[in-house]
Amino acid sequence: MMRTAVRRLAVATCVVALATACAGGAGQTGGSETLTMGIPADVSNWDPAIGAGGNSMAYLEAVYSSLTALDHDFSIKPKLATEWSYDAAKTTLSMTLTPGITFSDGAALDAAAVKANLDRGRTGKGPTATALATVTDVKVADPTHIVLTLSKPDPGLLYQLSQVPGMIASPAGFAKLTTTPVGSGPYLLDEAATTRGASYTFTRSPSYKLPTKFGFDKFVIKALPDVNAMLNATTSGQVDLGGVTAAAADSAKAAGLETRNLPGLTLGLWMVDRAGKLVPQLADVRVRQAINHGIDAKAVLGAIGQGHGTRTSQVFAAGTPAYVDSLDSRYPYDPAKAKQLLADAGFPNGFTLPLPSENAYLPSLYPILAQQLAKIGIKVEYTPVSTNQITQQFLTGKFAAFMYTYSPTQNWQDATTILAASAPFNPFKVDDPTVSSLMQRISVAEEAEQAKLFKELNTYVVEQAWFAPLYTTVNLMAFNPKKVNIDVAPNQPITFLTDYKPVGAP
Amino acid sequence: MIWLILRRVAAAVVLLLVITAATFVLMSFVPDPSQAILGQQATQAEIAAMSHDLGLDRPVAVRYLEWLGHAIQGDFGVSWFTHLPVTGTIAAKLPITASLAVLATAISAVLGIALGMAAAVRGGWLDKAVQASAALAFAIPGLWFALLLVVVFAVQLRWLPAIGYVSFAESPQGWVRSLVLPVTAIAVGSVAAVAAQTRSAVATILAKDWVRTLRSRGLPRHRVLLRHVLRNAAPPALTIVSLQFVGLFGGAIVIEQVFALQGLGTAAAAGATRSDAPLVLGVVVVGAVLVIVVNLVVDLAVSWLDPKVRT
Repeated sequence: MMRTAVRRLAVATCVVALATACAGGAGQTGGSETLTMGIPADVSNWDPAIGAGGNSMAYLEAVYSSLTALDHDFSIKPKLATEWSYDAAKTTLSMTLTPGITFSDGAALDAAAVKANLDRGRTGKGPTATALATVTDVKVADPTHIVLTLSKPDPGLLYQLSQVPGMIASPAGFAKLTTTPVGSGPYLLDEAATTRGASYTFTRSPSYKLPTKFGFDKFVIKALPDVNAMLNATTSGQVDLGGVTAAAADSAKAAGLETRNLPGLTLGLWMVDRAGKLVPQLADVRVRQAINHGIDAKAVLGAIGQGHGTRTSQVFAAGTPAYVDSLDSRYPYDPAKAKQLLADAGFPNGFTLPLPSENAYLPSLYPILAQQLAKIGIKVEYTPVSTNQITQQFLTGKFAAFMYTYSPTQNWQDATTILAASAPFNPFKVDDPTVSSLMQRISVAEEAEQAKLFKELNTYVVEQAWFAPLYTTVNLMAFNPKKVNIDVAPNQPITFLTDYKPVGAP
Repeated sequence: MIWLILRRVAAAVVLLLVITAATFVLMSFVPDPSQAILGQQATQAEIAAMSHDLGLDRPVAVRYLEWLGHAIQGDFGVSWFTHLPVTGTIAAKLPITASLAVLATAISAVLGIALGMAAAVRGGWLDKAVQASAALAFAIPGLWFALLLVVVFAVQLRWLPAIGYVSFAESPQGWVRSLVLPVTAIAVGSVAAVAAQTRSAVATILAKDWVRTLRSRGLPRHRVLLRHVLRNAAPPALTIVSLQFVGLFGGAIVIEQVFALQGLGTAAAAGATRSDAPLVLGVVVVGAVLVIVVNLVVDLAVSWLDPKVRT
């Protein structure tokens, strides 16, 4: 009896194995015009008025069109708005909309619909309201013209309008927008072929009329938050395109995939107590410069980043107007010079620097940093902080300095987020007259002048050593070269759906 | 039997209240998620306003009673991050985790009991092989084994998908294919546990005098084994199966992430990481109810098998 049972079980196991083996390769993803991509997060929600950035962009970009569009160097291009202009005071923004655009529900995408969206976004609660905080009024001039009134000049607004806050949804669909997107984007969410939280299928929208072309007839996004799941899905061919860690480059290549490097996060020491409230020594620029010279960034990149990254001394993104290549050699590793700077500042015997540490994200970083700073006489005393409390603890002014990974975006965005007197990442609200004056000039300058001023601002911040940036990590995009073609420029920090083209397409 | 069920249900209600209250108190210690909800550009004033909207400036007891009032009616609130109702989210995710845990438990029960019995009855090399395999299966970390399975069967051989879940309604074959690797990964340790427990229980019972008596009366071997020996050996095996189910439910958090299965484990991990209290509480309630129900069913089964415990 026992033998029979075991035999039956063995037969059943073989049947399952055969069924699975005969069912075809796991890499089958449909027709040649279908792209399946892995995104490391689920879409947080489909309502642009609530807002979501980062990894939700690929989902939202498929179903919505935004007022402006972002180019790879963070410059602004037309999208729903064909042109725009500011008044002399830069507090009135007039935009011309593409005529004849309709939402997927058939309603017209006109100035009234744009006003309804912007009003809803700026008066709501969430990242969109924060992004549109300077917009005080939206007026419809005629069906294709809209006028935004701002409380003050905002060079970041056109950037924000290229992101989720500028995505326009059909007002008739507002009530159900959290779960059901109704936009004018190139694709429609195919609800029947979608499993929320796991896999989303998009098909071409017949109502899409904007000139920007999207290569694939259909694409599928799989939400893969776990790095192992992402790597396995990519190397097994279940997704045609996915972001993997730099350390997984060899596995991806062995599986026949091609890879592209995109700059990731910038790791560095943020010396936010520049007025010296908690650590008086940090008020002296020579101390901050000494710290920059005293950390061996290349050694940290080798030990912590396994060499996958690029040395930088700047908090702005490479390839953006503010970035100055020559600044990256401003602080070579030089402990002797660091000691000299400390002595010049009146601290020949060094000082004690309290810093927070965490044990989940980059636990091995902290002993290395302490060891390196000890060599120039700075004794680091760590206070452990729970990894998921880092940002909150850092932004409330508990620590004079901290190690942080920052994801730089558009220059004005970064300046207002980390440099301005009122910036959330300036917890001690240090008001530097040079930075304030430069930002004031940038806010009213024309584009060409802005780029020059951004470089000046960045140079000043590097010279003042507000930060000790070490390196920018690498995000690796692995893809099946038989299915999709991706061209990225050096330093290109972001990719869009339009960057993915079927093999053989122009 | 009725009294047993009533007693257990009453205890379950008290247990649920204690578990949810404890979770609520614990969640009140995690960081305020307002900053994460609003994004890194939010000002302190906006963060404070969001915190107020979420009710985080009110006493924990008041918030708990409010939550309880809604939860009793089946309303677990709305996720702070996705703005989707927690009840709907859990309803979508439960079948995935249930498929995983129930299949893994069924396989570990059937295989474990079969292997354990075979080892005890036949002895010899089979017994040694089962014992050695059980020790090995115990020692293998589940996460490592899961990754090994993926590398061999999904990446190299491409027989099975590396990630994802297909519902039974969509494609029964796809459902099996999507669950083979994750179920194998989490079941291997349980099979070992159940096999070891069954082997030991069956071996003990086989040595009893009454087994020899039954045999000497000429009862067929399979009848002695299945009707008498297995029935007497079943209670400890069933208890270990129920414990394994609870363990598998917890282990699903890791396995679901490795295989990108959007089940309760993934939801619990995402909710806990982001301090999404409504989602975490919803998952905790469902998890607790499942564990309580499984324990109750096992207790009833054991009392049916063994009249001595019915008091």
